[in-house]
Amino acid sequence: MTAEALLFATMLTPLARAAAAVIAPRPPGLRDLINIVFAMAHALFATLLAFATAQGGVIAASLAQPMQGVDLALSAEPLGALIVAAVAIIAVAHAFHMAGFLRATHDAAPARLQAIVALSSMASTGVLLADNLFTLYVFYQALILSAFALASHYGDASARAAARRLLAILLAASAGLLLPAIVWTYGAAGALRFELGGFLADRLGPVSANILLTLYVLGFAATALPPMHRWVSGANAISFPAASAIFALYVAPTGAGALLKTTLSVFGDAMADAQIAARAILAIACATMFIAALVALSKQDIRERLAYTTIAQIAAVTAGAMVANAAGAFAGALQIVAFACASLTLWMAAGSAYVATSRVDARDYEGLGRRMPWTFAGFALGAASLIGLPPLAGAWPKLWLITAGAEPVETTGQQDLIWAAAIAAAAGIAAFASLGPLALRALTGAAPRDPFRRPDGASIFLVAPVTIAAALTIALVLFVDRLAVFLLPIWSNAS
Amino acid sequence: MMPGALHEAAIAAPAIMALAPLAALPFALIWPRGGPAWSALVVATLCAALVVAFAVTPLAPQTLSQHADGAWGFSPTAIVAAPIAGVAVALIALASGAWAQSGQRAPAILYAAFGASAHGWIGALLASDLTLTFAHLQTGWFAACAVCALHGARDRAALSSALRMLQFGALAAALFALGAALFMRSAALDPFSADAAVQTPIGRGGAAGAALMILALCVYAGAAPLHGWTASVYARGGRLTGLLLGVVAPLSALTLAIRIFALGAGAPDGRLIMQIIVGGLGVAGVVWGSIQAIGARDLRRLAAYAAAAQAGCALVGLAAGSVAATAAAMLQLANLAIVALCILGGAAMIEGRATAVAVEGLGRRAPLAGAAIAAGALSLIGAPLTFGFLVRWRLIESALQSGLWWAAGVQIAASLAAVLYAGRVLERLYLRQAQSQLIPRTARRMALTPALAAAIAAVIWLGLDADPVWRAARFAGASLMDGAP
Repeated sequence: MTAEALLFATMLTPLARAAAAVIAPRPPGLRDLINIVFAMAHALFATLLAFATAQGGVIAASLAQPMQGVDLALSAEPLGALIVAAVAIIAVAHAFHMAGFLRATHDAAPARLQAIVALSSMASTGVLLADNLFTLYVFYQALILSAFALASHYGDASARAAARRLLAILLAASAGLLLPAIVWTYGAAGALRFELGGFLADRLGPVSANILLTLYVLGFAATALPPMHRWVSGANAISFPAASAIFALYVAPTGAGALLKTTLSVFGDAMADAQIAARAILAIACATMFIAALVALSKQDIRERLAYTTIAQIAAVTAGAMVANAAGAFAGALQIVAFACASLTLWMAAGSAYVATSRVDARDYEGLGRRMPWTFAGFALGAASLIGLPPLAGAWPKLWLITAGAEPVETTGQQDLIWAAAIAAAAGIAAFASLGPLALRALTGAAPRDPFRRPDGASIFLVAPVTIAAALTIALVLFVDRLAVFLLPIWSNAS
Repeated sequence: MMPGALHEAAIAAPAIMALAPLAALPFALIWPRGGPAWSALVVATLCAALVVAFAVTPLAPQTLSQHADGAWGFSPTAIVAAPIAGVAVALIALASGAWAQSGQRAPAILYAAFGASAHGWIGALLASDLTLTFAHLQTGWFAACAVCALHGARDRAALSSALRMLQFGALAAALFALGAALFMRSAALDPFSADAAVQTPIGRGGAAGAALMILALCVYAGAAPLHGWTASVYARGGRLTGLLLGVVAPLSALTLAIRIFALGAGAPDGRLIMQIIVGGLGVAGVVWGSIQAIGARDLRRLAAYAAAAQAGCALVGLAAGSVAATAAAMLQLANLAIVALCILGGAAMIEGRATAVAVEGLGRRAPLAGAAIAAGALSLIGAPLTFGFLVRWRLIESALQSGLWWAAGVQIAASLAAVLYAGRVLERLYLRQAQSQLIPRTARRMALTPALAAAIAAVIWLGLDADPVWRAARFAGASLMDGAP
C-alpha cells in the first residue's frame, strides 16, 4: 500500500464506519462488531501512516481546489500523524466501551451515536492531517458540527442547551476569529500551506503578528482557554461515550493539536515577533492550569470535574506552544498524547461506574474500588498520569514544560519564563488535589453496602477497555524517547 | 448540435432568455385554464435554461461580452447573474404548477404575470440602455405585484402585500427616474450602454443621480433598510411571489446597482461619495437585517430579513471598490439567489404558514425540504464546503486587501449573526420533535423536487469548485473597475 493510499485509508475508514453504523443498525451485535472492526482498521492505518511518516518524504494528496490558491488537501507530518495514531489506537478501547455502555443503558439511538463518533473521528483526522489552513478550517468546522450532535445526543432540554452553548461558542470563535486569521494569513503571506519552521517570518510586523496569534489562539476555542472555556460547562448533560469523545479523544485534543501545528508550521520564527501576545497567553494558560484544576475540585459531578480537568490539561499544551522553543513544542505534543490516554481512561471508568451504580457524584465514589477493583485501578492510574506522577506518561510533558520555561531565552540569555515554570509546577499540586484524593478514597474507603443498579456489576465490555487504556497509559512511558526521535523534525525547527 | 449552431445560440441567448418567459402570455389570452399557459412557460424557460447550460456557460466571458450590441446583450455582470436567473426562473416555473393549479382563480393570468415579471427582471439584467432597463424594471416589479395579488386572491393579507409592493415600487420608480435624469444630465452618459466607461467625470449631480438609482435598486432588491415590503410579501404574498422576488429580483437589481456603482466609483469625483453611500447602506443592511432575522419566528420572514442582511454584505464588499471586491460582491449575489431558492423553496413545502413550530422536525417529515433549508442555512452561516463559505472568504479577503478593516469586521459580524438565526433553524429542523404532523402533498413534493435538488447541488458543487463562477466574476470586476486596484 502506498503512502498516499494510507493517507486516504486513514481519512476514509471513519467515514465507512459511520456509513456502516447508519446502514446496519441491527442486530446490535453485528453493529457493534462492525463498529469495533472499523475502529481497529482506522488504528491500523493511522499507525502505518505514522511509520510511513517516520521514513521521511512527502505524503500528500489533494482532494479538491474550490478556488484558485485555495486547496483542500491532506498531508502527513510527524505531529499530526502521531496524534492521529495515538488517538486512533485508544479509540479502539472507546469503541468497545461505547458498545458496552449503549447496551447497558438501553440507549434510544445507539447507531446514531456510533455514526457521529465516527464522523468526529474523521473530522479530527482531517484537522490533524490538513495540508493547509483552509483544509484545517473545513475539517474543524465539521468537527464542531459533529461535537454539537454528540453533545445533544440525549435530546432532553439540558442536553440541547449544552449543545447549543457548545455550538455557539465554538462556531462563533471559528467564524469570527479563526476565519479572519486564516484570511489575514493568506493576505499577508499569499500561502496557507503548513511548512515546518513556519512561513510568516518577515511577512508581518510585530503588531500584526501579536494580533494574529491572539486570533488563532482564541479562534481554536476547542482548547477551552479562557474566555472561550464556557462550552465545557454543560458536561453533566452529555452522555458518557459522547463526553469522552468530545473531551478526551476528538474535540479538545484536536483543538490543542491544531494550535500547536499552527504555532509550529505557520508562525515558526514569527513567534519571536508575537512575544507580547505569546507571553500574555502563556500567563493565561499557566493560570488556567492552576485555576481550572481548583474549579474542578469544587465540582462534585464527576463529568464536570473531568471537564474542568480537561481545561487545565489542555492549557498545558497551549502553554507549551507559547513558550515557542523545542522543549515547549515537545511538551505540548507529548501532553496531547498522554492526556488523551489518561483522560479517556478516567471517562470510561466513570462511565462504567455510572452503568453499574448510577453514581455521578464524586462524593459517592468512596469505596467503589472495593466492588469494582479493575475499573478503579484504571481510574487511579489515569488520575495519576493526569496529575503528573512519575514515571507515568503524564509526568514527562509537565517536566518538559517546566524545563522549557526554565530555559534561558535565546535573545536575552535570561530565564524570562521561570515564573511560567513555577506556575506549571504549582498546577500539578492543584491537579493532584482535584483527582488524587478522589481516586484514593475510591480505592481505600469502605465498600458501599447499598445494592448496585446492576447486581452483576459492569460487563466485560465496560471493564476491559478501562484496564487496557490504563495499561496503555503505563506503556506510553516506554515510548517517550522514541516519540522524541519521531518528532525530531518539528523539534529541530522549533528551536 | 454543431459547434457553429452552438455559437449562434450563444449570440441569440440574451434575447432567448429575455423573451422566453413571455411564452405564457398568448396562451393565457386564448385559454383561461392554466395548463397550456403553464406548459408554454415551462417549456420556453427550460429551453432558455438549456441554451444557457450548453451554449452560454462553456464560452469564455470575453467571447460572450462581444455580443452586447442588440436590445439585450451580455454585459460583464450579466454573464455571472443572467444564467443563474434564467435557470432559477425555469425551476420556479416548473415548481409553480403544483400549487397554483388547484383552486387558483385565473391561473392562466397568474402564469402570464409570472412570465412577464421574470421577463422584466431578466431583461433588466440584459438590457443595453437606460430606457430599456427602466422599462424592464417596471415590468418586473408591477407584474410581480400582480402575481402577489392573484396568487393570494382569497387572502386579504396577500392583497395588502401587493398594495404595499405598489407603494414601494412607485417610490423606487420615482427615485430611479430622478437619479437617471440627474446622472444623464451631469455625466452625459447612459450608465447601461456598452460604451459606458469608468474614469468619465460625472460631477456631483452624476454622483447624486447614481446614488438615487442605487437606492431605488436597493428597494427592488429588498436590501435593508429599504426592505419594508419584503417580510409581508414573502410570508403572506404566496409562495410563487416569494420565490420570484426572493431569488430573481435581488440578483437582478443588485447586479445593476454594481454597474452603477462602478461608473460612480470609477470617476475621479465620485469614488468617495459612492463608497460612503454603498458602504453605509451595506452596514445598515447587515445590522438591521441581522437583528430582524434573529427575532423572526416565521421561516419566510426570516428568509426576507436574512436576504436583506446578505444584500448588505454584498454592498459592504462592493464599497472597497477594487476588482476583487466587485468580483466578491458578484459572487455574494449568486450565493444570495441560491440560498433564497433553498430556503424559500423548502418553505414552500410547508402547508400554511412556515412558523417555527411548522419547521420543527421537518428534516424527518420532508427530508428534501429539510436538506434544502439546511443547505441554505449553512451557506448563510458560511460553513465550509458550501458556496457561502468561499464567498465569505473572498469578501473578507478583498476587504483586507483594500485595507478596509471595518468591512471585514462587518462581514464577520454578519456571519456570527447568521450562526444565531440560521443555527436556530438547523436545530429546529433536526433536533426537535415534530409538533405538527403535516406532510407535504405529493404533487407539491414532486413539483418542487427539481428546484430543491438543483439548489442543494449548487450550494455543494460551488462549495467544492467555484472557480468558473469566480473567473466570470473576476472578469466582470476587471471590466467594471478598469484601473481600480
